[in-house]
Amino acid sequence: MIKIIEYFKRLKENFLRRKEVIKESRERFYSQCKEGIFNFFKPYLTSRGFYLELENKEGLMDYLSEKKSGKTIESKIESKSRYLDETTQKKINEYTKPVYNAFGRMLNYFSELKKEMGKYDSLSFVYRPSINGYDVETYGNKFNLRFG
Amino acid sequence: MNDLIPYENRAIIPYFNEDVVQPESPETAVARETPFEASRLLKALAKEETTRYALNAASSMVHDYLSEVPEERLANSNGVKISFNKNRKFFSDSEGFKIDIDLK
Repeated sequence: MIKIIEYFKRLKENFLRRKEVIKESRERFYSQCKEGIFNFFKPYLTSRGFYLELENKEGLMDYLSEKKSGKTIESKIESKSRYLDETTQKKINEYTKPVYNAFGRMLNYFSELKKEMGKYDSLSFVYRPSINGYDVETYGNKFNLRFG
Repeated sequence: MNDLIPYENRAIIPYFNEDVVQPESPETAVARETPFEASRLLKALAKEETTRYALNAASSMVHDYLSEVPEERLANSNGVKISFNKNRKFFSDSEGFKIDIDLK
């Protein structure tokens, strides 16, 4: 009986810990969106990702014209995590490593193609593990990159 | 004890065995002691990292893309929308995602 009580106590603690992690994640997302170019966008966190909408066009245009002289990729994907515990980080990496590699490949494709992209109004980057290599399709003003 | 864990979640148990954890943090303690909640907690942590990757990647691309768009086109636009969507089974074999950047 004591074991059962302990089990449910632990379950509750872990549930509360997960809720706390989710809350912290939300706060970190909104504070991250106040940095760099996304400072001019209104951020929304959704169940399957996020969504950003331009809020301050004048500010964005000033920001871009100031940056134009040293135009380059603004920031790289951070590999450093806030979790210091190696074991937890290792477990998390099992989930995120393939995705992390995919983001790296996407940035490489983007670097190769970005000069052409200014003429398009809509860009899509689709990652599907089953695709071998990458494939670019354009329809009018739409640019679509699919890769695996 | 095993009967307390819903049948459909029992398959997760071998994943978090005894040799997983040293030193212990709240997360690793979870991994050792309550497999089902541990799985959910680790996924929540992994999701946060993924969102961070996506945000940084999108930030780089949006910056470089908007720098390539002619200023006049940007001035006449009705807005810019950026979205990141994960597939439902994101942390499984069929994981995938989509990033869209739209100039209206």
